[in-house]
Formats: sequence, structure tokens, C-alpha cells
Amino acid sequence: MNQNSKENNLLEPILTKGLEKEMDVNGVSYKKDLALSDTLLSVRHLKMFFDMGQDKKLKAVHNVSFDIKKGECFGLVGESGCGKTTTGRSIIRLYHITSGSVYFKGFRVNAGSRWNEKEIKWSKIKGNNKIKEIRQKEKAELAEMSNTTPEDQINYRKTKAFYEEQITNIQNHISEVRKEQINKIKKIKYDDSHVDSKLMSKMQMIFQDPIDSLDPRMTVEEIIEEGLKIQGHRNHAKNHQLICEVLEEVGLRADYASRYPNEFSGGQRQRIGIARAVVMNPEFLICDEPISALDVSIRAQIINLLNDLKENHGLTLMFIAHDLSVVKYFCDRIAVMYFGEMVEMATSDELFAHPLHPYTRALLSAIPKPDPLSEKKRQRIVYNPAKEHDYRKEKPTFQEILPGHWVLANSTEISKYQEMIKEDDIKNAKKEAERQAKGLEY
Amino acid sequence: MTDYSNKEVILSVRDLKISFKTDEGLVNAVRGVSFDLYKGETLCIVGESGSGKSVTSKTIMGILPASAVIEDGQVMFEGEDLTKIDESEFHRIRGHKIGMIFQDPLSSLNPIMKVGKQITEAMLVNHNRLNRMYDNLISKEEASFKNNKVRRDSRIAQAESKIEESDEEHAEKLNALTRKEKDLAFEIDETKDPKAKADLKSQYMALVKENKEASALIKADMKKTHHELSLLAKKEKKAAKAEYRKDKPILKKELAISKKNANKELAKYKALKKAEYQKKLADLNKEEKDLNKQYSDSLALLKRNISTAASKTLAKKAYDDKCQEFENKKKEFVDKKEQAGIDYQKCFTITKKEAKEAALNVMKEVGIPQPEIRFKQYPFEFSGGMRQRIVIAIALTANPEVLICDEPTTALDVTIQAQILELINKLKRERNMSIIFITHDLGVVANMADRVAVMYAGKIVEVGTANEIFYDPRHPYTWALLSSIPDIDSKEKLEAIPGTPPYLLNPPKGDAFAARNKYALAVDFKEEPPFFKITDTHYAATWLLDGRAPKTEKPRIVSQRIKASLERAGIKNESELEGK
Repeated sequence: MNQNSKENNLLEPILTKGLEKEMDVNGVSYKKDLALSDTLLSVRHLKMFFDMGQDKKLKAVHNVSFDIKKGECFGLVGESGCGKTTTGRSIIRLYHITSGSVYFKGFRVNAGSRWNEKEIKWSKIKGNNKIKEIRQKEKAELAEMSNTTPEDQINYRKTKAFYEEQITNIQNHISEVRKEQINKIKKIKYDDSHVDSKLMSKMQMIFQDPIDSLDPRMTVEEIIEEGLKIQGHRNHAKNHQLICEVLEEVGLRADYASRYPNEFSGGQRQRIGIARAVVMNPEFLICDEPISALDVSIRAQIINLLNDLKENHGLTLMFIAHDLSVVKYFCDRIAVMYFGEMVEMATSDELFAHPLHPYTRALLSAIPKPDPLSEKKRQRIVYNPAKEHDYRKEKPTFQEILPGHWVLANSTEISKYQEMIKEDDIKNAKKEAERQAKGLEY
Repeated sequence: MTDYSNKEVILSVRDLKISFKTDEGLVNAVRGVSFDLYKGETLCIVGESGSGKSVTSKTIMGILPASAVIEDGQVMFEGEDLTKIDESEFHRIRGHKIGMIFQDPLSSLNPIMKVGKQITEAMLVNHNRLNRMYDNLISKEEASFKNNKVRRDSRIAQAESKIEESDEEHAEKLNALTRKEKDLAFEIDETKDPKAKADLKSQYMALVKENKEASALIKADMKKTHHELSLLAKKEKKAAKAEYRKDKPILKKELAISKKNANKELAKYKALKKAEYQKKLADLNKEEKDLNKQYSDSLALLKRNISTAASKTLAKKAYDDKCQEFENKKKEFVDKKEQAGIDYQKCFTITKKEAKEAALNVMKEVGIPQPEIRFKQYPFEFSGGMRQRIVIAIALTANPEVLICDEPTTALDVTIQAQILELINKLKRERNMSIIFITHDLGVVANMADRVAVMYAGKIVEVGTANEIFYDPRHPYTWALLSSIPDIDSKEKLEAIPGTPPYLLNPPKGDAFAARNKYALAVDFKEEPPFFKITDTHYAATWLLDGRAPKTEKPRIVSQRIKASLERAGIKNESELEGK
């Protein structure tokens, strides 16, 4: 499509010139190494706080970092209220994030300035404290000195000048930091308002509630066409043809275009939501619990549809859900979130083979399976963060324990988890051997 | 395997048919549902939304909206038909004997009422213990007295409906004849060729003549059958009325006797309690008297001491202390008497304090930490799982025999869902409740169910024990449900059920699932399949089980999963499975 070619034109000068790692393209921050690698989306230290009044802050997402590769399906799992949806909505710029940055195809599309503001504040506080200390020292030293002979007077002036110099140094440092951070904040604000909207339309989202996410006063055609119009496609005949094609692709009839959303069932509405996202010819699709509001029999239809779209368009997906069996079925990599923090991230097979974090284990043990014999014997693991972790001595960090397997832990826990991996490997090998001995293959 | 033949049936639904009045006409939401609920078991009802699961449960609770019409069927509970009894009588059953947990914890609690008040509300509404005792004592006789009348009315209605049916049949036949005539007349108008027109005209004349005779015959037949049927109906009416009249005095007498007995029993109870109370009061009075005597003696002694003793202040102090002690003791007795009065009152009514204590106990039972603080909070201060626990607590306060859970975990997370399911299972074991569990999540069904009923388009299509449904499903809809959920252990393409469930304004002819069923036979589009028996507990309504049907296998994805899960449980053959 011509959208694609336009964007390639935009990137051409960068690719040909050969520039340094971080630079500006049309004034927007751009990371070349991200753009050239196979990473499509990169989230760095994302924090999203909401004001709750009375100076209270709700820390919905607290320091989340991850990369999504091209053509991958990335799953985000966790209980309700853990910040999954907030993460998705922050990526697609429905919120101005508090801190951190989001890079899409190397361009910074969303960033927060809280850290920079804090930097200015703390440098000021720290500097002023230091100055206070120095003044006290100066005062003490000067009080001991006699001020009678001319030699003494010279000495006196010297020490005074020495301290003055120190203080001015600190003040200079503060103003430097302030200048630098203010520049950065300005840059963030500039980036926020100057991100190329063509680039942003390559990112689309499917929302959780198929009923509330469609405007009841717009026809299906108007709903789907809205994005195209915003992007400047004003040829109605062409748009109509495109819409008909998309409707048929998502399994609806083309003549549904003139109807209103209330004439459709839940599954059909979700298909309209998918069509609205797909018509923009996106490369990256965020699916926010697309099936949790649907009926059992319709769920499988939507899952199959998403799978087909993924293959036909070569989409990269981010799949947000709380149902682990669906995520396991659908995704290549899974990240588990708990109270605004990412606790574990691995490929889906790896996560199910070695669930390390106790919360992941609890989550896996709670999945109901359609199998009465094993279901009635099920032992659920209860996760109690106060009991499981001892973070008084050492704070946990998000670190890689196996290649591609990340977990939130401190050093004592890491050694514990490594032993757990070994145990699990032995157990799985034993099971496999038993199966092979029986001559059964599953 | 439990033997279901000699288990006690606690609730039995027979051929229930419910419709909803809408602008477009009657929507047949439930079209003939029958099942039994045994004591201490969990029956899971599975199906898509709109299959009539919730409507069935609401009928059992007697909370159908005003637009619903119960067309036919019975819900038998303790010898009473719950579809026939009126609202005031339902108060005795709803909540006390049949409790319900609702689907949405957000909207099923009152947002501007404190949680504690909502839990105690039901207890305080029915605070009069004597009334409840009286109702329970006479309930059996009253039910049979009322059933007598109901039986008479339904017999008469049945006989009258037969007349109507035959009339309608005949009218239909007459209509068909005239329709044919009209069609032919229309055709004559259409044709322009004079020769053909004349031909048709002659045909038309012949038809009119023929029709005249036929319609006369039909009319005669109609008159005759109408007459015959009305005679029969009259006879039936007479018989029913006679039986009703015959039984009425006996039943009335029985009812009067039981009422008298109940009154006697209540009077006895009252007298007993009163005697107990009076005895207690007398005891207390006696003790007080003794105490008074004792103290007055010692006080008099001490008073005399004041004037004689060496240290006047010390003696005075001793006297004052003793006085104080006496006062305290007196107060204690007043309290005790008051307590006795409250205890006496408690035998007849439930006080607010008592209701609160009971509510706190229930809240503790369902796992709400710090119930004393939570008691005074509003629903918005609770998380989803906690709110669902409150809803469960409200259902449990009256200690019901049957608990209906209408998708209690659909709005919740997996972890919270697992907690709630464990809680319901625990309560069921402790209280020996029978549970009707409605859901569309087959994983939850596997966890909870003893028996499973699969519903589709207002009908039960397959019913059996959990093992039978999951390891030996027979109905194509059950196959489709089982193959449309993603499995943790495999990544094969899911077999989605095509299309959507039928709209029940005009239910499809034949098997309702036929249009979405890839195993559908020609007969499925014409005639509704009856229930075929597979084992004593396992029935399925599909023509595939008929002897004449071609042999069909389960879909590969289902049979593979069954094989895998049986292997996981260490069972080699399906025949080893319990209940096979």
C-alpha cells in the first residue's frame, strides 16, 4: 500500500547515511540499533501512576521493561488490577506515561518525564544540603582563627575563598543538571507532540468489551472508516471497497456495513472491533482480553480468526489475558505480571516447564482443566508475598536466569530457582522416559 | 460409583416450558427441561448464553420477571409445586430452603447499604420465630390441601385444551382448502392465453364444488368431535370436581387438626419457655434476697464499729467499701435479670445483636478476614472476590438445603475463581447441601460436578455423570464444546462451532443444533430426537444413537484428549473407568 512506501521514504535518508546510535529524525528521538535489529517494540522502565487525590498515587505499572520481536506473539498474564491493560494502553498512547519510554520501530512514541523532574529536585536538595554542611564547617573554622595579624588576615581570606569556590562549584553543578534535564523534558514533550501519525497507525488495539468499545450512533462503515479518514484517505469509493474486503476477511458479510452495532451479537461485535483495527493495515496489534467477554463456542471462532489474520498479514501480536490456557495456546512468549511489576518472562513452553516465581506457580495451579479425574485431585498453590519473599536485606531485580527466561528475584532466590530448574528437568526426563517405555506418543 | 437409584431426590423439574413476552411475540426460552437433583450432589448445567440455564434456575427460585410465562411443567420440592404457589408462600422457601448465588457480584449487592446490613437483612425480615415454626408445622397438610385444588384446575384445563386443539386442527384444514381456491383464482387472473384460462376456469369450478363437499364434511366432523370432546370434558370436569369435593373436607379436617396441633405445640413451647424464664427469675430473686440479708447484717455491724473503733477514718472507709461492693452486686443482679429477659425474648424473635453474631460467623466461614471491620463497610470497599464471598455469605445465612450458583465465578480471575470453588466445595461437604451449578466453563464443571446436564436452545441435550460426559460424550454439541476450548498440552487448530445459537422466537424444526452440526442427518431437520439411554445415568438426545443411523466417531481432537487424560490418570481402558 502507499502508506508503506511513504514511510520507507521517511526512513531512507537514515538508512543510507549511516548515523550514530541515538539521533533525531525529523526532530523525534530515534534509536538506530533498535530499528535495525528484529525488535519491533521496546518498552523501557515503563511507569504509570494515577493521581488518586490527597497526594496519593496509584502505582498501576511500576518499572516494566520488555522487547517484542517482529512476527512474535507476546502474551501478558496476571490477575485483574495488576496493570496488564494499563501497559497495553500506555504503549498505544492512550495515557501519558509517568516515566520510562516506549520505542516503536526505533522511534520514541511515548515517554514520561517524572524521572527527570525528580533528578532536578534531588540534585537541588542534595546540593543545598552539601552547601549547608560546608557553611557550617567554614563557620567553625573561621571562628577558631584569630583576626589580628596581617598574616592571619590573609589566611582568613584564603580559607573563605576556598569554601566559596566549593559552594559555587556545587551551585554550578545544580544548574547544569537542571539545564540538562529541562532540555530532556522539552525533548520528551516535543517527541510526544511530533510523533508521525502514519507510524502510530501501524499500531492498533482490540478492546476488551465488544459492547462498550463501539459507538452506538455510528454505522459499522463509519466506525471502520474513521481511522482511514483521520489518516487522510478521503476517497469514499476506495474506502468502501477496502471496508467490504476487511469485513469479509473477519467473517462478516459486506452488506453489514450499513448496520448499527446494536444489531449484532457479542461475537460479531468483536469481529467489527477486529476489522476496525485491521483496516489500518497494522504491523502490531494489541489484543486486550478479546475473548473474555464472549461465549464458549464463539471464543474458538475469534481465536481462529486472530490466528488466520496473524498468518495472512504477518502481524506481531501482544495478547493480554488472564486465562493462561488461551495464552499458552496462542503465544510464543509469556510475561506474568503481579501488582504492576513483571515477575517472570519466558517462552511459553519454557514457562510451563519451569515455572519459577511462586506467583507463576500459583497461577498455573489454578487453571481449571476439562478433565474431572485430574481436576478433582488438584492441589492449588496459594501465593502469599509476605511469606514467600524476604526482601529486607536485598531488593529483587528482574534478571535472566536461563537464556530467554527472566525472573524477578534477588541473589538468594536465584540460587534457589536454579536448583528448582534442575529438579524439574530430572522430573520431566523421568516422565518422558516412562512415556517412551510405554510406547505412547502425545 | 454412587448408585443413583436409591438416592433421595430433593428437587425434581418436570417438562418445564417457559416463554417471554416480547414485542415480536413469545420467545420460547425453555422448551421442556426435566432433571432430578439428588441430596448432597452437585449438578452442573452447561451451555451457551441464551440456552435457558439461568431462566431455569430463576424459576426454581421464583424470581422470574413479570414478562415470563410458565407454560407447562412442574418444579417439585418437598411435595409442593413451586410453579403454582404464590409469592407470600415463597417467602418460606426462598432463602431458607433454596438459596442462590448470583452471577455478577458488582450488581447483585446494594451499593448504598452496608455489607453487614445486607447479610442480616433476610434474617431480620423473618424475625418472628413462632410464625416460622407454625408455618413449618402445617406446611405438609397445607400443601396437600392446596395441591388438591391445583389438581382439579389442571385436569379441567387439560380437558378444555383438547377441545381447543381439535378446533384449531379443523380450522387449519378449512384454511388449507380455501387457500387452494385462492391460489387457483390468482392463477386465472395471471394467465392471458384464453384457452388455458378456460381450462383453468373449469378446473376452478370443479375445485369449488369439491371444496364445498369437503368443507361440509370437515365442518360436520368438527361439530361432532367438538361435541364429543365437550361431553368428555364435562365428564372430566364433573369427575375432577367430585374428587375435589370428596377430598376437600378430609384435607380440610386434616389441615384444621394440624393447625390445632401446631397451635397446641406453640402454646406448649411458649409455656415451657415462660416457665423456664420464671424459674430463673425466681432463682435470681431468691439469691438476691439472701445476698441482701447477708450484706445488711454485715453493714449494720460495720456501722456500729464506726462509733466504737479507735481509728474512725479506717472504720468509715471499711464501711464505704462494703457499701460500694453491695451496690455493685445489686447492679450485677439487675444485669442478670435483663439478660434473662433478653434470652426469653430470643426464643420468639431474632434480635439485631443475634443476627449480627450469626452474620459474623458466616463471614468468617466464607473466609473474610477481620469480619468486625468488614461488617461496617460498603460494597465498593471490597474487591471482586471478596464481594462474591459476601454474596455467598448472604445465601448461606439461612442454611439452605439447595444452593443454586448462577455463574458465580465468571466475572472473577483464575486464582480467585479457584478459591471460590474450593469454598463452595468445602461448604457443601460440611453442610451436606445439594448444589445446582450453572456455568459455561468446562474446566469449572470438571472441578465441581458429580453430574452434568448439557443445555442447548432451551433443552437438555445430554445428561450423565461427570466422567461419562467428559470421557464418553455422545451428543455432537458436547463434542463441539469439548473441542472448542484450548488445551494446555496441545497447539492444534481449534474446531470452532460455526454460526450462533438460534433465536428462540421461532425455534427451528427438528433438532435445534442441526444447522451448526457437521454430523447432522436428514432426519435432524425434520424431527426432534428423543432421549436415547446409554447407561442408567447417561442419556443423550441425538439421532446418531438410533439403530438406523450411520456409525459416527467422535472428532479426533476429542478422542485424543480423552485418551491423554485417561493415560495421565493411569487408566488404560475406558471400561476401567468408574461408572462404566
